[in-house]
Amino acid sequence: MTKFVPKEIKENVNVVKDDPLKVFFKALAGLIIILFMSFVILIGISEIAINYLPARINHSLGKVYQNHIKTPDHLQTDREGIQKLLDAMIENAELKHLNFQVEIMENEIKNAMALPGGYILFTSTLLAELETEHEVAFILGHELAHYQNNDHLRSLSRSVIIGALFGAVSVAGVGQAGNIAASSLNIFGMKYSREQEQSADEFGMEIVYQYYQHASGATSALERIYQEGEVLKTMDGFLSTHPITSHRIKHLANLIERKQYPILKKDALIPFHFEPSKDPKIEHNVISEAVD
Amino acid sequence: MIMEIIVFIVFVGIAYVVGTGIEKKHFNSLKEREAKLLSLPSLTTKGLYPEDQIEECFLVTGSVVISGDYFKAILSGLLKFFGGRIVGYESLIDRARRESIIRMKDKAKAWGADAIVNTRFEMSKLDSMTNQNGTGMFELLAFGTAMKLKK
Repeated sequence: MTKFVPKEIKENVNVVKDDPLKVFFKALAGLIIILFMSFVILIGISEIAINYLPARINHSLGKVYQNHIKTPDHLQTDREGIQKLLDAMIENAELKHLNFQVEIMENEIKNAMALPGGYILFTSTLLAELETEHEVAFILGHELAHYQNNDHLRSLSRSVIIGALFGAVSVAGVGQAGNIAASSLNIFGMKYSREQEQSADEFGMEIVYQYYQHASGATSALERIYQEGEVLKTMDGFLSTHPITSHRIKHLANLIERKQYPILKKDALIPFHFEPSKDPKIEHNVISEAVD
Repeated sequence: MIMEIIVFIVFVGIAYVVGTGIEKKHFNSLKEREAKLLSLPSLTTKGLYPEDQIEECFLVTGSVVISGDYFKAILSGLLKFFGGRIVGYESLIDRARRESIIRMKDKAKAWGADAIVNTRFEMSKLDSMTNQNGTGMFELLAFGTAMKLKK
């Protein structure tokens, strides 16, 4: 019979010696780097695709919105007024060969957006805030800039890419840490989006100047959409698709001063009047998709 | 989204601190109890003892149901992407295996056994171990034949 000699084994070979917290951060950083690199590469490819697509095809993508954003009958007169202004403004602009259509949506959110397909959508709440034609013109110019820069396609491709990466992470079975890592891409996307907005503001102001020979309305239009508590809500703009409105106003005011564009007195401006209906319907679904 | 990230960090942090504490305590307790039971052999062999020496046989089992924590689940999900040793679960399974042997030995000792032979392990998952919604719960069962030898 074999003799049994009790002996304690000191070394445990079955357990990794590494600190799990260290391993965790290493793996998380690795995943974020992989996601970030795929994101940059895919964005690069989509940028090339967007630049090489003919403008007309780019522009006409997204005709699907057509039936969702029809202006209600009682707002048709207002719509035609803004459309006339738009047509006059782009008479001399580079975007002349494309068709743009103004639509008004009854909604309690203060917003305007450039939808794929050339639809410039105003919400009734925003129009009710605007007091001069120059402000309307600035908003139109801002949205035209989004078309000029293909921002509507860029944000579309960005959300498709982020969605695809989310999907890839979830297929890989990485679990919740993967979702968090993919969310971090959104923060990067937001920074990019803030840059787009700033350049659209500049372009919008230029269009207003070209049309009226003065830049009144640019900063005041932004003041109208300013919302209280904005700074707090978005951590000073860090987590926002748009720069803080006060930053945008300051930026434009500086630019106007530098370029020495004239600003007219209030009573010299063309007034604009819009009466919203009392009970705006809320349709969030279209809003969340678009570049505003 | 920022809220989601904060909640995630807080949860992972709490799970790490609490989970590591519990694990450390468990390893210490395992070491202590293993040392006490060292004189009772638990072997995988069958015919070590001749039949005429054996007075009595008895089936002994030791079962453990154990679960990983949120941190381990998140970590294993991440490591699954890159491959390699799954840090959190190696220690978890080691703890379960040793605990189940200790429980089996405890039972055998209470019965008065001199040795356990033909020791085997069975493992069954009670939820998906690296599932996004689960922290990995499983049962580890050690069983063997306890023997009293003729004196």
